[in-house]
Amino acid sequence: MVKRKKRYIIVKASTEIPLEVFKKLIEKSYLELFGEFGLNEANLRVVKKINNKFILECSQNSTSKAILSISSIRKLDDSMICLRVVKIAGTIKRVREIIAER
Amino acid sequence: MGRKYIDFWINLTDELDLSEMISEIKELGFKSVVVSSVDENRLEEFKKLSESFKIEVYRKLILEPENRLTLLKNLRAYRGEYEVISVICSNLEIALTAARDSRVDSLILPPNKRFRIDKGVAALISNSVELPFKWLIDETSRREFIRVANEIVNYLSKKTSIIVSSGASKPFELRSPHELASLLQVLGLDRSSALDAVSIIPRKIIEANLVKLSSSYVARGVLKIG
Repeated sequence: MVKRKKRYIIVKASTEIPLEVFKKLIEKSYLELFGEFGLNEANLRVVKKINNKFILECSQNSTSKAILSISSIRKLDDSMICLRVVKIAGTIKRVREIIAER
Repeated sequence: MGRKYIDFWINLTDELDLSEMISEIKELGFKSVVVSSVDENRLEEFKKLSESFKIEVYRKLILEPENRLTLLKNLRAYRGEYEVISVICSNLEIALTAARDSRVDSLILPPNKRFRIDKGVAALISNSVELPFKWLIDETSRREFIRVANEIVNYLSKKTSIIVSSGASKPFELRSPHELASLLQVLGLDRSSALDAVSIIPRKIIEANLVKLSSSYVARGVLKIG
């Protein structure tokens, strides 16, 4: 079996939100833009939450789609929210380094 | 040397906090911004603020004419005053006129446009086409915007240059260069071409217009030296 390459996207939220809420928000946005097949292909997984930063794992081929889904989010229920892509890394080790640097 | 990113359209409204906006622009990694505003004083205030953040600010005029004559009249009146002029093409007549006029820098095709971009229209377009990201963020215009963006990339990407701007009028509507470029990547362009849409292409337009606006410019291809 061929091993699928992954990418880790560090996302910063403008307000404090729980991990589960973030996951639902991303999945909803991705589903709206790219459908069930796209979502399945992307293999989205929220790895960790550090303060208001989230580490989102996705397949390498779906990175730009994941970024677009993140940046098209504007609302959480009735309040405004802004999610910013901080950095993209290929390994979880590099992600830890980036977060430590910041 | 890394890319110098430009946000080709930021809209300054009255209720906007200018210092918050400029610090957000800096944080996102932009070196230059092109700003449209109805209030000249606010624009000057924004320019002064941006100097301390080392961000270049250029002025942009957005035209949304009803017919061809109004468009030509406005272009004659304002071309010498603004670094960038963009035209929102709400109908085919405006689109065809703006597409062929060298005084227009970019065409903006709104999501609610009442015409289709087919090969005939595409053949006439020689100016750049701009995609404001704010229409993707807005849920009411998202579907139509994606359709328009898809048409633009399919028919025009090989023929003319495409620019992605934020069109932001609030700090949370701003997006980073990579986020803006991801729109074109998703629509089928490679990473490098997508990043050109937020760096090299808008910079070339601005540089060409700065030369035209300078006192040494005489005519196309002729400059006063000394």
